[in-house]
Amino acid sequence: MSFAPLYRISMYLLMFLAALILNIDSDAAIRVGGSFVRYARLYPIVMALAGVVAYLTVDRRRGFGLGPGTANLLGVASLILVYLEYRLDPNQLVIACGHWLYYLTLVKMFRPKAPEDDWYLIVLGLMQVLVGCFLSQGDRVGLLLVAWAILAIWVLSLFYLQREAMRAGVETGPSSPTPAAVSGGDEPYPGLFGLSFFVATARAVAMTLLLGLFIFLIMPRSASRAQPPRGSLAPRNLTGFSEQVTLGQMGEILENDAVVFTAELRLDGRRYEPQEELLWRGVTLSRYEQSRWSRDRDDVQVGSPPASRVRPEDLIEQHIHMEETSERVLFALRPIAEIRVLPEGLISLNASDGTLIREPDRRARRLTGGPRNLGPLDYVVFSERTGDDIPVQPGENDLLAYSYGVRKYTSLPPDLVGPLREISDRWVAHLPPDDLVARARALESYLRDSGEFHYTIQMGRDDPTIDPNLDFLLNRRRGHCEYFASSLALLLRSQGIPSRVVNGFKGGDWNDLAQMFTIRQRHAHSWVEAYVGHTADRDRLPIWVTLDPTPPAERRLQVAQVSRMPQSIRQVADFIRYIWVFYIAGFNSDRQEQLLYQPIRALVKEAREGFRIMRAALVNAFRWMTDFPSPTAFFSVKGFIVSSLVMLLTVAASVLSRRLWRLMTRRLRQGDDLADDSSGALAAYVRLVKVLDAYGLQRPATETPREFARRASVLLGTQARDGDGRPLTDVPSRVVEAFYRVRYGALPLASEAIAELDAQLDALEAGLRPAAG
Amino acid sequence: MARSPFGKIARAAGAALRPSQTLRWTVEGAGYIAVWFILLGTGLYQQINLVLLIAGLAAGPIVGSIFVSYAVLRGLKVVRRAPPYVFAGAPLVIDYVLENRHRWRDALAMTTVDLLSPDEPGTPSARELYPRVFFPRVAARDRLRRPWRGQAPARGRYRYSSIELVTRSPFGLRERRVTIEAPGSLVVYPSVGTLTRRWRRVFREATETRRGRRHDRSAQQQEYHGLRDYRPGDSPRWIHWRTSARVGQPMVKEFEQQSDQDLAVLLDPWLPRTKATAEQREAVERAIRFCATVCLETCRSSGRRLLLGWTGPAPEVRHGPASIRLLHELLEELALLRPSPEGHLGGLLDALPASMLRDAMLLVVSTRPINLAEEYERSARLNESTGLRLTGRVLQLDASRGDLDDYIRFDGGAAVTPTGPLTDRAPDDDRPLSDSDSDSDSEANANADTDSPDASVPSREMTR
Repeated sequence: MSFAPLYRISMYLLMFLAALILNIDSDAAIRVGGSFVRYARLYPIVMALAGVVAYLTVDRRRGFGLGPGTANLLGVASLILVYLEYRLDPNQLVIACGHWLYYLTLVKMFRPKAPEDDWYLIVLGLMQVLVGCFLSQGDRVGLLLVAWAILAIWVLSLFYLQREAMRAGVETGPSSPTPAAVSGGDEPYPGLFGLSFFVATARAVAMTLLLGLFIFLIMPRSASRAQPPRGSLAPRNLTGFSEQVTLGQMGEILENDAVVFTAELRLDGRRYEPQEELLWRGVTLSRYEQSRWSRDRDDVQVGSPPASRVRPEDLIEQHIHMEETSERVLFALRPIAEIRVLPEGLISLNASDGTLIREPDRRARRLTGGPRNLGPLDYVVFSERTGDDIPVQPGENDLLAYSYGVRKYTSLPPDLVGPLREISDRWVAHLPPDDLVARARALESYLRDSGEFHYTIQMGRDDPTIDPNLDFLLNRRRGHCEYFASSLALLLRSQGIPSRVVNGFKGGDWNDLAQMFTIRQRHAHSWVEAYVGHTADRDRLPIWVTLDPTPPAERRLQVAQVSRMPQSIRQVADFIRYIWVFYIAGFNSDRQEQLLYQPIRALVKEAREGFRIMRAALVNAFRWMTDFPSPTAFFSVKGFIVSSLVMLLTVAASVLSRRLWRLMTRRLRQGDDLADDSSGALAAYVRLVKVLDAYGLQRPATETPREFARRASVLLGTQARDGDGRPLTDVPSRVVEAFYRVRYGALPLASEAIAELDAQLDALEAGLRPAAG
Repeated sequence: MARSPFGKIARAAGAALRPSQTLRWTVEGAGYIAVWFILLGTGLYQQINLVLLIAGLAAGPIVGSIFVSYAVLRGLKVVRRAPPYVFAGAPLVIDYVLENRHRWRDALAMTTVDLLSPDEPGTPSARELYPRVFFPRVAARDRLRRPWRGQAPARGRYRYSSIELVTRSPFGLRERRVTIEAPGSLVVYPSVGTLTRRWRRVFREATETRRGRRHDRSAQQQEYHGLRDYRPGDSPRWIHWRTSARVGQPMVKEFEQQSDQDLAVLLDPWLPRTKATAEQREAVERAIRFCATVCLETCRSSGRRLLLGWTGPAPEVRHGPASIRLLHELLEELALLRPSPEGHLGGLLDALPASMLRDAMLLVVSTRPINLAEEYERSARLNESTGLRLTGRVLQLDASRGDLDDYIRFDGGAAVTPTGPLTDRAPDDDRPLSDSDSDSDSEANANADTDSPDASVPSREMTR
């Protein structure tokens, strides 16, 4: 492996990753023949190709490459491209600026390169990464960012070696501007790429990344704020949660494994794992017309429900990280007691149906070719922990007290009234008309437990001429949760019970490592809420009973089948994702406090307490040891212990002092020793003694160096040979002769003679080294 | 160097207090930290965690450099191997050996920076040298020797103080230097030139003229040459009894008759106290170089006594049988010689040993016009008549007038290096010395010295 190509290829790979980060989540598109082409996806490919071409031309052949004039011209011309891109879509100004950095990178790649050019390339790549992070903070960008960081450290280390070699005048490649001045061939670091280099680099990378992460964690943070939309497309399509939902639409996402949001639950300040499957409430649909359910958006929006009367320890704290989406609906457990989000007022609770809506005043804009991405969002919702009681949503208006409200939740298409009434009457006829809860539960049980209906995500209709709900109830009898919920809601309405369909999520993937839920699209679910009256108090809050007619076992089985990943791997992947979502992309002052400052404060407190106890114990021990009421009391067991301890301390102090003195004197002598060592023959002699000692030959004090050399030569015989097979018998004698001349003749040797001695000693050392194996 | 215990303690305390390592920003590191601050500011202002993450990760190399560079330098040892002397302007080669005692980690891109500073500069032009050697890679538990090649500075004594081992590992953002105390010294002899045919002819004629007048040299003027078997007719006084007893047969000492005339080189490095011109300074240097060359040529072969004396506030004299050791001493004195406005030749003549004053040929090299008669008058030991007897043995050369140009050439400029005794080469009268003869200075020097093991230590005299 050669140094220069590896360095250059690593550099271009870094540029490619930077281009990928910039463009991977970009929705910049151009209309070609009636359809949108996302041209931003071509940028990384072009960068990769440019890297290959630049390496084969500019970097391998001297004299190739753009001249300064041409490069400047191209740099200016690239501004025209930026302007054109901006004209195509003014909303894409940020990505257009990022593309300008990209163009400059391309121009630089085709220039002959000096070290400063490589610095420019690295900085341009870094700027592209920054722009990419502005545009998107999705998972893919995160993964690429980590890869880019590791590669950047690798490139930095290679770049450093290249600069040092060039400083020393070593040729490192055809593009090197300085001529070769030092011998060493084309390879500046011969034998560099061995195991030790890779181990050392891996260690340095690991240490650097850990340090970097630590620094990232201790940086000052403000409270979590909503991430502004970056203008890119929503990365995943979340259907079934808009203002108007066609029956069966949710089936599209039930087969999708993408993450919708992540939730941490806390109860009384501690992590909480619920035993039952939670219902994450989303959009509430009240109107049914022409096989479509839709929301009534005319209701009053409030920022947050009134202060809860529930004790704080009965509130479930939900820290939710919503992924990038184009839908404004947010999810939480009902009944909602409090909402916390920054900036305040970003989330509104519909006072009538309890739907959480994000930025209700802004209309979703459609950019080129797709829905607008609203960006990720962190918010906290406090919900009451409900038991078997029917939950009451605080703050929700009892609009049903008015006639128009009742009509909205009981209206049915005229053609459905008869058939639905006929079906529902069979199951509720025997129940008292006033017991709305019992009648609602009976209809729920009919769909869920009768065994006549089965869960499937396979779409289809037996009779397209009738309403899909009737087709489901009468003919097909198979469908997913949306059909069950829709049918139940209509059956309830046929019995005069106000009802609404709620689309949300049920359950989620619980992660034991992170102690949190990951809710994916396949967890999407529909259920029904039936109005059964209002509270008797002055507030007259509406009471909505939750009904879930979908057979749970069959649904659970189906959801599990959609998951493509084994459970154990999913646990790890979700945990990594959780770390990314909550402690990197969504790291804020609250989490910083929780992760760093609280443990540190607790540790300091405990340490202080521990030191106080130790100090008290030491003071007591010292008092006990020095408490001798009379001189005769010293001659006792206690006196023996004390005197022994004093003696031990004295010995330890003297040993320490001696070591300190030795240390000082050793450092003191260092200069003189080195001064003596400047004579090559002395050093060679010392080395000879060491080599022979390692071989088992020691010089006794009664033997002169010359006699020792003679004896060594005899013992060595022809055993040690140099690379050419010549015996090294006379090496000790030569070294000793040189030593005599230097030591007793005060005559130094020439550097060439020293070099020769060293070479001979090298050969001797190698010859005496035991063969491997 | 402090040798007393208190001095040692003071030195040790000083060494302990003085930081042996320094950490500084490189130019690239300064640019990097500037970009990092921009990143940090953007991340904190916008509170974008990914930008903060990049800033955090970018801070990793900065902080990591501190620890990694420390760890890299910990197991390294540097040794300098330098010649003790060199001729001014000659190639100077200093070997540096970097030993990596780490078990598995290679030492990459290490640089040693040495400092060679004038300790006793012979000339004001003496300058500091910074030998810098790059070690690309030293494998674990291995060592690498790299030479630094440069040109020797102006004459004088130079001192090595410490070697700095420099690393910018692992990213080139921070530079760590560890200072390793490695004292040493280097004497830079004056550069020497080539004596011309004319000098040889003049010198030979003067010597031959004097040889006819030499007679009955004493035994002290005979040089010990070696041992040989006894031959009939040998004086019993020549028998070396200890060797004869050891080898079992009579061995006699062999002496070499000194046939060449002694030479006294008298240098007057005069320079005005103020307003010395560049020409005058150059004349002093030429005079010194000429004397060095003559000493070198004289010491090519043993057989005559050589004296070097110079004027000054206190005239000084070094003399002894021509030998390598004497040559080194004389060259060292010439290396450190500083011109002086004081002193005169008469005072120097007073400092000469009587034997040299009586028999030796006197080569007077000055940088100002000298009237010998006046100098004899100034001398306490000479008068006009005794001075006149000297005159026939005096060769007077004035460097300021360009007298030396006929006798010496500095063809190779400052790069000319000596041969002769220092390289153990047989004298070759008329062949000018060339650059190709400049190899193996110190090694050859050692060989020559081996051939004359009994070169007597020159006597030192100082006359005030």
